Amino acid sequence: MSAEATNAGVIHDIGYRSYAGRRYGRRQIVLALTWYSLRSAFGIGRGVKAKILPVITFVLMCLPAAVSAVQIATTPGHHRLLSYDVYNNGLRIVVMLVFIAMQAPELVSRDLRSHSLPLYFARPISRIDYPIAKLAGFIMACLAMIEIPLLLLYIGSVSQVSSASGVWHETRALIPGLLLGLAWAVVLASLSLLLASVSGRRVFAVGAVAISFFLTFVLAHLLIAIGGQAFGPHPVGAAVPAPDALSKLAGLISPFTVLDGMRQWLGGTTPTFVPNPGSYGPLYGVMFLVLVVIGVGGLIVRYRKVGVA
Amino acid sequence: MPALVNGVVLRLTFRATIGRRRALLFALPAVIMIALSAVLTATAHSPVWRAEFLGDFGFSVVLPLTSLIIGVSVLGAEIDDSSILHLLATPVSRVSVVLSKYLVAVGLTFVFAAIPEYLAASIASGFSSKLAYGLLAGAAVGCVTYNAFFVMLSIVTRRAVPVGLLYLLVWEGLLANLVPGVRFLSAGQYSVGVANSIIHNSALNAHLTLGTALGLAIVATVGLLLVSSWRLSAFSIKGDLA
Repeated sequence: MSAEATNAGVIHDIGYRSYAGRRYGRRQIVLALTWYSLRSAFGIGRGVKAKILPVITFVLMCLPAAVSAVQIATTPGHHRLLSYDVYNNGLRIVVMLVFIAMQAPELVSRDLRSHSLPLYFARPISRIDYPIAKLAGFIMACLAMIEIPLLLLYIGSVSQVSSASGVWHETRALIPGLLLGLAWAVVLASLSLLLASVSGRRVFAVGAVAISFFLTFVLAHLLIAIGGQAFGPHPVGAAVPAPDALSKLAGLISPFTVLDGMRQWLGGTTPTFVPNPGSYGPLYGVMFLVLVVIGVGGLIVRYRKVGVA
Repeated sequence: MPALVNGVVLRLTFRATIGRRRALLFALPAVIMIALSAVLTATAHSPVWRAEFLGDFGFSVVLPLTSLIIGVSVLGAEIDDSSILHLLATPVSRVSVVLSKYLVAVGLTFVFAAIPEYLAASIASGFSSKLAYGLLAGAAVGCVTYNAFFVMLSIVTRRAVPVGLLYLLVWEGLLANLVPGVRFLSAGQYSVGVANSIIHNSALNAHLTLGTALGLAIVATVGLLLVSSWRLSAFSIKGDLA
């Protein structure tokens, strides 16, 4: 497919100008589209207005790491307070929610709105390439949002460590954090792109992403809090859930709490508002996979069926 | 003095807002809330969850989101497709356009957010309980203030939904709980303040007294409506923003 497409007349000869240069194939198109998507996630190559929100969210995200670096550097004997796997949990959730809700539509909605999809598919790419390239670009954008602050935190901590074992200790703590950041990026990017691709109107796309993530998160947060109170240590009347089961299961509602529940199941020890799922842990792992499959699979299906018009 | 509310605008706005497929979206948060409170009532061992769940989920999610979707669309939908020109070309004063649109938004939000709030509270603790009345009163105040803000937003900016969501997340969600001064300028605090004056429950996180909350809500609403009328009077169609 690829070799044949490379030789095909991709740059259309419409009569008055021929092209004799080298023809780049499918791979080059996908790479270019990925790079372009990554740039547009941060408003690079567009006006100042498009850059405001990505810059503000990114700076906000880096703030705790910067504060931590300064604290460690100026106060002798000060230890790193933020953990690599959780970072600042509340801030990370709110900032990522705003980032994906505002930026995911930039990647997919505009193409739907301006009907430029037929132009993409007139090139030698297959149906799967467009969503995959967009997804790869947006995953990288989310990775930049999540991992760069972690690396800043790491640099800030390591720069004040004198022994090699100290550096090794920090590095060993950092790696799970980076891997977890990858899990965050994959889940958030794929689900938000899928939701944003429902509509070419930017307004509806933003609303679809923000409302679904916000509503599920508040719901999970509240049910976790209520589960502890309402199903607390009372003797069970053998009703539907065992005591506290609600708290442990409510996290499955929202992608953010699924990620956190999975972290604790995999051995993360930093406490957050999400209780340790205990024996329900594998459910969080399964739910994580389900979310990824829904996000990635849904996007591929979405663009297999989208009308070329 | 021309009539402040125009019946035709009222009727047309009502039909345009409720007549689309999108109208089903309005009911979604409310349905989730009622269903969950039914499930919790049936299974919970203690009633502490009521104020926490109904107050928090109702006043920080259901009410603001419903107001946002409805408040932005009553006038914003017409501005978006430029059909507002036909309305503005008629001899209906801009003030009465704003007021009529706003009244429809308040009424619909009341039906899709305040009444479900009352129903959910009734399922949890009985139809004439303090909790049910308190939440209904608070939600009614919320309908009035939130919609005034969102109608204003839809006139001032073409990106009313993203801006409105940011306002809800950052201003109402984060700052109103962290920065003490913000609670005097928070529609959420006004509604919770009124609800708390009837229910008296610390789980509501209310920081304003009844008088302050009501007074500020009225001032804010009137002010926002004045700004809306003024901005709509100076309304001009810019080129297609795509």
